[in-house]
Amino acid sequence: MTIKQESQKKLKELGEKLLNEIKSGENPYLDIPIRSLSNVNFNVEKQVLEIGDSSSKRFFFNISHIRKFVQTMEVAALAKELIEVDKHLSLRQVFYALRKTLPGTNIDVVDEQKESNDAIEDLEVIAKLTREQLHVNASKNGAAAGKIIIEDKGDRINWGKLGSGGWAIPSNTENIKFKKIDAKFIIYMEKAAMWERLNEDKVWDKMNCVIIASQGQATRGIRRLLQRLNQEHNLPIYVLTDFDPWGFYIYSVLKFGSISLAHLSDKLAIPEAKFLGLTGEDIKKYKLEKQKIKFKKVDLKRLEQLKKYDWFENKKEWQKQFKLMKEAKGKVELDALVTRGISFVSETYLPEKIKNKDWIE
Amino acid sequence: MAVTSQDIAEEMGKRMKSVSVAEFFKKNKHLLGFDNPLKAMLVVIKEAVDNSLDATEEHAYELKKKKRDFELPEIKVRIKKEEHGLVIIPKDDDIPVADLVKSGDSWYVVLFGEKIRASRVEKNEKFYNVDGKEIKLLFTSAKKPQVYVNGKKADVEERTLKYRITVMDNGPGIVEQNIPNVFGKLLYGSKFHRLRQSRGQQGIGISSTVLYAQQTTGTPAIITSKTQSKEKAVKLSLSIADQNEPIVHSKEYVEDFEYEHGTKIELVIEADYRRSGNKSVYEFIRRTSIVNPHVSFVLKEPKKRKIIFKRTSNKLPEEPKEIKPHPHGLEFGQLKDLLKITNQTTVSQFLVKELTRVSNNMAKDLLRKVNIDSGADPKKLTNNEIEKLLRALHKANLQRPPTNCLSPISEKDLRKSILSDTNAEFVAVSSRRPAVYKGIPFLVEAAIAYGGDIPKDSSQRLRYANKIPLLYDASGCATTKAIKEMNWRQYKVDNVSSSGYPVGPYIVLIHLASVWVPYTSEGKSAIANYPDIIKEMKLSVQDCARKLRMYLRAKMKEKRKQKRINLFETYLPEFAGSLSKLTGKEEEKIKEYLKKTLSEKYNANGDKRDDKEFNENEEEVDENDD
Repeated sequence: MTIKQESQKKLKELGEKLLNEIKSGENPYLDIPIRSLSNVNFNVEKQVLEIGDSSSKRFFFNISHIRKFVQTMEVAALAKELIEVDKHLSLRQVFYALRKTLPGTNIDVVDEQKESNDAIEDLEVIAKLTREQLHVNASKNGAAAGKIIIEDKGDRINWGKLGSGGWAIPSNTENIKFKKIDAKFIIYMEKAAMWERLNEDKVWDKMNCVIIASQGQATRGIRRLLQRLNQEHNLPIYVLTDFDPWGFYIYSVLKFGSISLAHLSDKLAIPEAKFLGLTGEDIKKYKLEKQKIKFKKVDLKRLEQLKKYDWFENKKEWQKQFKLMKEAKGKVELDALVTRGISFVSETYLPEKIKNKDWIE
Repeated sequence: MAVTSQDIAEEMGKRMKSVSVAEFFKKNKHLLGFDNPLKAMLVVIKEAVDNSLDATEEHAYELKKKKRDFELPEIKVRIKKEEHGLVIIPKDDDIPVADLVKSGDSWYVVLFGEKIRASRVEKNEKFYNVDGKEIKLLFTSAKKPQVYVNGKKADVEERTLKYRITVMDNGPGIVEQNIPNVFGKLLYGSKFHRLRQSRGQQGIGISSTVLYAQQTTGTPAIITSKTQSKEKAVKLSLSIADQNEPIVHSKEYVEDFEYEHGTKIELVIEADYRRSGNKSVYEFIRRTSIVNPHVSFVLKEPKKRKIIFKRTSNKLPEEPKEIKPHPHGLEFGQLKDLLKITNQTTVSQFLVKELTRVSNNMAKDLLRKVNIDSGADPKKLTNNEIEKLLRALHKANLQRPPTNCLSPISEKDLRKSILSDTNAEFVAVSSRRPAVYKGIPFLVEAAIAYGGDIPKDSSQRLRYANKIPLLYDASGCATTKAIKEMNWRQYKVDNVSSSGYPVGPYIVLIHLASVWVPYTSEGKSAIANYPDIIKEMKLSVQDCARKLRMYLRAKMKEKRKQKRINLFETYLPEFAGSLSKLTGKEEEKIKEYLKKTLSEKYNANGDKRDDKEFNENEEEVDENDD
């Protein structure tokens, strides 16, 4: 059974279930696994986040459920059509596709994109299908450069020959074929500016690797791409972030998976990912004390939350970093390394860290 | 010649004289409620209607007791413009020159109450000589004539009008020799010395209106009355002398009287008239008819407006029994008066016969305690002894007074009557059991009406004492206090005014029935704030409010249910459409299934099924919506 057939079958099964309920005069409902911290478990063996068994029922005949119920159904019908005609829509386009007025009223099926986005995520967990399988794309985001040649929809692309922009990573990387891999590892960084710096220095050529960046949290497309490179081709993944709770959490999502997409950890999490970003010790080592930016309340609050997550709780090295961070009372950005020289990151920081295996896991 | 202090004292003594009751009230009109022309109109009609109601009812009770046919009360009130008055004011002077009055079809110029004839009439002009001035009236097509004073055009201003008020009833009539005293003597009456629920209490009401007419327009009252046995009605014209004695000006016997028996009073008074509003005659009659469903009223007003308030009940209310005073409510003066007028020869017999709830043994006991011989002559007790006796009576452990002296409207009649008046969507009524304040029995009835023809933007508070509406002095009234002290929001009344009244299509009615209503003043427009009375009023209104809350809740629930159904129906086609796309099943078929489920869930037993998932969160959501 192809992926397409599997998706169609699952959607049809969902429809049949509801139809049976309606025929027998029951209140039709959708069973939605809860996607919040309370229903997320950390699988110690696999070292990834997994969704738990808790679910909530969403009924049609319930005035506080009906709107979301109908939104979810609209998305399901739309996805079925997209799969049939083999076309894709972006999240924004799905929003417009759902944006119609109920006859005889001034009620719109959706008022804002968040509603259609939520409906898509709900459908993913209800039907156990990914957004990609539902033919819905996020906007593309992120760039790659380095010693890999791929094939995408029949086009052969050499990541080493794409100039200053690199390869724009699509939102769905499921069907990318890796043709030739010379790179020995991947460096993922949270900022496009740093990526451009490293690309200009041709770090990937000098160090024989691939550099990938997005903006902030890695998109699903990038996460899947990184996971495949790691799992299918045994390439180590190094994550380069700032010294602050948000940077640490970007690493956490890549490695263990995220809370809201815990049901997709199998396809997104990279338990072998290594942290190569700034550590508490680096601040002293690279004399960055003066580059600290004072934490705000919200930063400290986030730090406290991170400390208590199951997947960090028993990790000595991480708890040490949290402690140092609390003592530092401020964050230090990777960009601050420029104070040590324009190409300090490419010529000193990265080679030294990798050579000394100076990473955290 | 030296002036001694003895001379001065004698001189002062000569100037002192007693002031008659009539004279006193002449100078203190406001005490009887004649504060302003508008109120005067109401007070006159109220007093006459009170009298008619008491008379007609008592008549019916007597006939009923004798097992004879009786007519239910009918009362007719007529208000007629007697004089159209204008004041002539010259252009260069603020001081009015004279009054201009239309009497019938003719116009007169009036100075100091004297009508002046025109000295000359030319075509459409009339000339008068008044106080050395020549006044010309020019009649054009306009209703009012144009006025010239010494050739200069003058302004005319409307002035207080005179009205002829007629109130007529089908009561027993009054025997000829009693008429002068009933209408021409203050504080004369049968009601002051007895304890029974009646409208009039002191016997000042009707004679004070005669006095008011006399003072404001100089006209005597005209009383026509016919008793069953006489062939003709007697018609008297009378007024009240300063010494509080009636003066009969004329007497004749007339054949045309509308009823077989009854009484009619006609008064010409200075007053103001309003067609509608809280303090209009219309409102007074309307409110009176609400609590007197067995009475039929006819109101004839200026401009040929005739309103008939039909009776909604053909049953005469229970007759209130007369009771003797209860010792706990006695006051010194009252006890002294009773001792003086009693026919009993011993104090102990006086206590047993003239008061209620005192037994022979108890009387002897009491008298022994205060050292008064039980065989003593009641007329010969000293003030000191009366004082001691009163204190002992107040402390005595006695049964509460009997309550058959009260005549409530009854819940059934009150409801019917309010429904007929307002066409209300919902009416709650409550009739409390009798209670006692200061030894005086009383009973409270209340009603709350909601919706129907009741205006949405205001709430009406109908206050009554002994079946008579109270229109003035609301702020000082016990009923107002009772309503204000309620927590209306607790009863699902959302909109409450800052002073604590419910706002919206509500009528709140409170009726106090008592053998002695404690009014705050002689004007009888507000009930004094006795805690015992306020407490009963609150309990009664709360009783109604609880029923109202139940009704409003049910109504809200129904509204919510409808809202839910509407919401389901709105989303239903959309769901059917998407499910049809998913499964390939026809959209119409899915709609049919869903509609069937919906109607089964909501209409099986008039309410939705007791499904947990159905009810989830709905309270919360609905509260927000409202």
